[in-house]
Amino acid sequence: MKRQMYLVWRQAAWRVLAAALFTLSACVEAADEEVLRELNEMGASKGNVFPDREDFYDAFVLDANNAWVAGGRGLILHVTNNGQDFAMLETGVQKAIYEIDFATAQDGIAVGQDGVVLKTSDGGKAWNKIPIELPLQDWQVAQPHYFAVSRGADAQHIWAVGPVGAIIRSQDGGQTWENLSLWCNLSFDNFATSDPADDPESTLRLNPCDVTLNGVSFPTNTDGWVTGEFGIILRTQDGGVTWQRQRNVHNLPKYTRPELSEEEAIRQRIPPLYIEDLFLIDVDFRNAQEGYVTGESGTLLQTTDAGETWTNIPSGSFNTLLSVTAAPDNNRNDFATGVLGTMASATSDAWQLDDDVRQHVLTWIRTASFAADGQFGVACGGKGTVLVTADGGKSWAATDKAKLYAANPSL
Amino acid sequence: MAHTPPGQQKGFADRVIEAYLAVLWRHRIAYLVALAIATAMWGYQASKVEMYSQFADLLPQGHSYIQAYNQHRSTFGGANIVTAVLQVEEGDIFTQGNLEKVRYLTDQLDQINGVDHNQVASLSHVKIRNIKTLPGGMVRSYPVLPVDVPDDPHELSALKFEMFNNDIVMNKYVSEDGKAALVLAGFNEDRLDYREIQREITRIRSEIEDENTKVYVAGEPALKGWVWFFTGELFMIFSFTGIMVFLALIIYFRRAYGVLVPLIGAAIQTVWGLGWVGWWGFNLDPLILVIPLLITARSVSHAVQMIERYFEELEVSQDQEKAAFTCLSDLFLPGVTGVISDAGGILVLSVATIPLIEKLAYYGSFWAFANIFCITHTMPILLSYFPTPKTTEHFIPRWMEVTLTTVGNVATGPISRWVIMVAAAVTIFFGVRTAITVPIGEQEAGSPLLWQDAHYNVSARTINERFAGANQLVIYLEGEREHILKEPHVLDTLEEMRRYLLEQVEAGDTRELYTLARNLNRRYHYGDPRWQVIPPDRSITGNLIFVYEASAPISGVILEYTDMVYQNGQFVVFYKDVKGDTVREAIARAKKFMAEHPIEGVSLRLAGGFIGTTAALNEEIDRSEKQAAMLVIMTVYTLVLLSYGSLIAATLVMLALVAAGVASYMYVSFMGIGININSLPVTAVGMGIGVDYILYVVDRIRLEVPRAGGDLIAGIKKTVSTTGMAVTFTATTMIAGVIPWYFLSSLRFSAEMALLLAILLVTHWLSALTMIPAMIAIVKPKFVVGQPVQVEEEQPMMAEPSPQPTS
Repeated sequence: MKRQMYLVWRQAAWRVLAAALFTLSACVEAADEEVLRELNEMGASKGNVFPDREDFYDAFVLDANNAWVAGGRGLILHVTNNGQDFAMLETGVQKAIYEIDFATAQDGIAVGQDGVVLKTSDGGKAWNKIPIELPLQDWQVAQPHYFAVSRGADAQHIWAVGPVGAIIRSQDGGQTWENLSLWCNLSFDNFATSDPADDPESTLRLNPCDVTLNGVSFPTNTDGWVTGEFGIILRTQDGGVTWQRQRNVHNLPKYTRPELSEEEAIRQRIPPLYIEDLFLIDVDFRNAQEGYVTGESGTLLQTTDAGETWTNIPSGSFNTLLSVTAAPDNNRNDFATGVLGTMASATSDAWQLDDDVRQHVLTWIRTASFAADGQFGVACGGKGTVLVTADGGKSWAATDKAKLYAANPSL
Repeated sequence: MAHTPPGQQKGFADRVIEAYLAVLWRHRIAYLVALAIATAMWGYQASKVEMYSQFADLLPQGHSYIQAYNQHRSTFGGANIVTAVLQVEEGDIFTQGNLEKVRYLTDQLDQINGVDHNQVASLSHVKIRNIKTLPGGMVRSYPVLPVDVPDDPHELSALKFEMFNNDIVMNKYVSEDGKAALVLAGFNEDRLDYREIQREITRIRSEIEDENTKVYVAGEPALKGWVWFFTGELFMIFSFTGIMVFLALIIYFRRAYGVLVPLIGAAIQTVWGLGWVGWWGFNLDPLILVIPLLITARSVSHAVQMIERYFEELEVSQDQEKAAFTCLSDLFLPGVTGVISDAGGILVLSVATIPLIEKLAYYGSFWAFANIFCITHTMPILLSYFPTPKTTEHFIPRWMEVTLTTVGNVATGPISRWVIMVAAAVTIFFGVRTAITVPIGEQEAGSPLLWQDAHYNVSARTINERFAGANQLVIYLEGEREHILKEPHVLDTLEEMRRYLLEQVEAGDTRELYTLARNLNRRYHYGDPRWQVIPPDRSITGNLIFVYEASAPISGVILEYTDMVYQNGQFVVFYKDVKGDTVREAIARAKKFMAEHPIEGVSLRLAGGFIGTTAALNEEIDRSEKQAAMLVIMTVYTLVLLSYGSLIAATLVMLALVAAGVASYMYVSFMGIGININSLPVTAVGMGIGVDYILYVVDRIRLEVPRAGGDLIAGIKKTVSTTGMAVTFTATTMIAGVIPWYFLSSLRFSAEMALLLAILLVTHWLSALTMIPAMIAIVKPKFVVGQPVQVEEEQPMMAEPSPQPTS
């Protein structure tokens, strides 16, 4: 009996040891593996979209229940309920969306990085990527982006512009596009939308135009303007087939800061300012006569004669102005936005900065867009900045980041 | 015979031990002389011991992360970084005075001895620059903070918004609300004078701080500085411990013998231990100073057993020499087994490739092993030469007698012993489960070494709340050829990884080439954010970065991102804390991404930064902690098996050890400490802190049962009331010594470890006096009950015949 008990105990002892060894060896790095297993259950690793921290490049407001903001990583948010609700729309692209435009609540177009052109016919539920197979200059050394888009007087006529003098036009609501990209000479005096060398009668010798076009505005189906680097303001009166440069700019200061003395400018190594040096960014015309152009160093040019003359007016800021919105009627103000939280609006006699916005928005504001009533508006900018106004831009409220974050159901 | 119970057949080992002890006893004087010479030699070596810390000691050099880190740190800097934040209460930092203070803070940190000047950065540092494109395309790079800080409010306002709009600065060097500025200062990783670092940081703080301005400082060098700051206090507490032990010994023994002999033994052992440290050229690190103290406490524990047994025998035999020899012979085997178990338990820590722990294992094990010579051999010999005590009556406190009688009855009661067994089984089950799942790494933001309201932890929280995070994970990029890091496909993958890693809640921001390139591209286009894209060709990217580098007044600006030939680079992620879970998820995400997104021509390699090195440390601790615990148990198991030739004995001891030792895991888990480099040695050593209690009790039962005429229960009760008393003396003495730490220590780690040690002492005491008796009463193992009954009715306590004649 004792012998049996002894054997049982000895066996038990070895088993305890073996079990302990097995258990402890099995759990080495168990914690790490558990984390890895949980990650694997979440699917393959990929860069996700964070609506609360993405850069937003454009906002478009149709009405208080239909607004959109577009940004990095193919992100488009549908904004409803007076700017209270946000839903992420599946675009199917990973590239930045730079501008977005809706003719109706259903019919929209979006353009962006690396030649992205998207079209929706159902309010953004589904986006079709429009293939653009156009010989858009030498994209091997440049950026094949579409920075800006503009509709003409009707929903069918659309233009988009980008670097390397890229201009494309659609006359069927964005279904098909034609290439109207620029050719130009080195002094940017002569422009064409096809190589003049192809025309045996032409004596012009132009090259693909290596100029970045940043903005486009077509108040009608024929009259339009584009802006870009090197102080480029081009006007077309035939829907973009031919372009003429406008450089009759008045009131440009000698230096970007008017108060700067020549001595101080030399000391600070600040060069004199010429129109050819300006990096112009946005253009917007309320009609075929009146419009604005914005650019670096707070440049704000205004015309009331279809660009025959442009006047540099004080914008209230020396920060780069990224956008300008010319109100189509008198029941709302013109707005400009820019870097460093710059938001300025035109009052009856001058442009004024919104100091409250500047104090609270610690990044750039790309654009502001308003509904037809002039009251509801959305502005957007860097690092998940979405501002909403219900009083025509007199006051702006920042959207809660948690609300934006929740817009992406996969997070 | 030395150890074999009376009447039992002597084995070979018993005969060897008996012969050895006889020789030893005959040459006691010679032994004492040899001991004195050896102690003098070790004392000389002990004079060479230095106490200092070095960051490199914390890094497991064999770990692949550390190998990558070592390979790249000469280019990209190390992980031993101080993060200082200047914060204002009212207004923001954008006043001339505050910005000058930021510059002063930067300059002063840069001047501390041991700072790697290439790793200093702040908004006032020349290498943190802004890029501006002037009309006409002229690109200018200028320091974010001008050399002459303006006092004009408009210029200050412009400065503020420029910084806010600069991704290189925003959230990394300036907080989003503009109330705080961050300064980084990397330190070398070799030996540093952390006390001086602490002094300098305190001085800088005092010079800058006022009613509206506070300076918060975190990072490993600052933490070490605080530990060193409290080192003086540590010695005060250790002294207090000595006094408490001294008082406890007086209370228990009420004789000079009982007080002096254990302390003499402990002193000799300390000299040996320190001598060993000095001989090997090791350094003592204040972070784990508690371990040598603990080892020394074990010597007191063994000595108390000896004294107690001596007086017990003296009371019966009235013969000082005989009592001393009985003490030696009876306790030699359990004593040696216990000491070797102690030493082995510490030596197994060497499975960790962390230099700090390895060194501790090597010197700590010898320190513990020295007990064989300093205590087990020396104490009985000293007792044989000391003057005969005037009174030989064995003092037994009444309360202890009552307590131990009750414990003995409960442990052997027909029902209560089963209750004890069930309780022990439940403890083992939940304890082992806890031990297996005990979290590795820090469990709270900040450092568990210090209390949550300590300035360091307040600093760590403030910095992490206001900035992207003070803890960096560095993933190294190793290219096959020069300039490959500028390739679009490489940068695009970095962007994917950036986004994936930033999904983790604790991840605040990144610093990598993709963000730099896109940010520069935008700046070259007058700040137009639509240009925040990677150029389609590497030559354009190269031009962007070249201008950034070339326009800076000092070289190496891009070393925060890539080497000068764009072949190797670093991808830095900032995390809010360095908790075990945070580190695990960060590493798991990085590993997963790297596995699923190989980059043509570039290898991604983990890991540097504080998160990377901590991950290596945690992984090493995770591996070695379990191995060490297992090896401690196996060591004890093997030793008991060899000593008693009984699997049952070994199993019982092992179970008792596990039941008591798992308390340490339950404690660190419950207290939210986790197993880290600081708690690892304490929990490992704690596993065996009371193994001698268990061994002395097992051995005594083995002796007492035959003496009790084979009556198992009587033998057990006798053991509990005799050896149990020595165990109780020891345990309560040690508890009295360590528990004041909890109330006196400004170091949370010392306080909590003291509480842990006290708990471990209690659990081992309980295990030795209840679980062992209960198990033996139930199992009736052969190594106890299978021995011939002793028929020495007149002298039941005399286990041995008369000692050998003295020389």
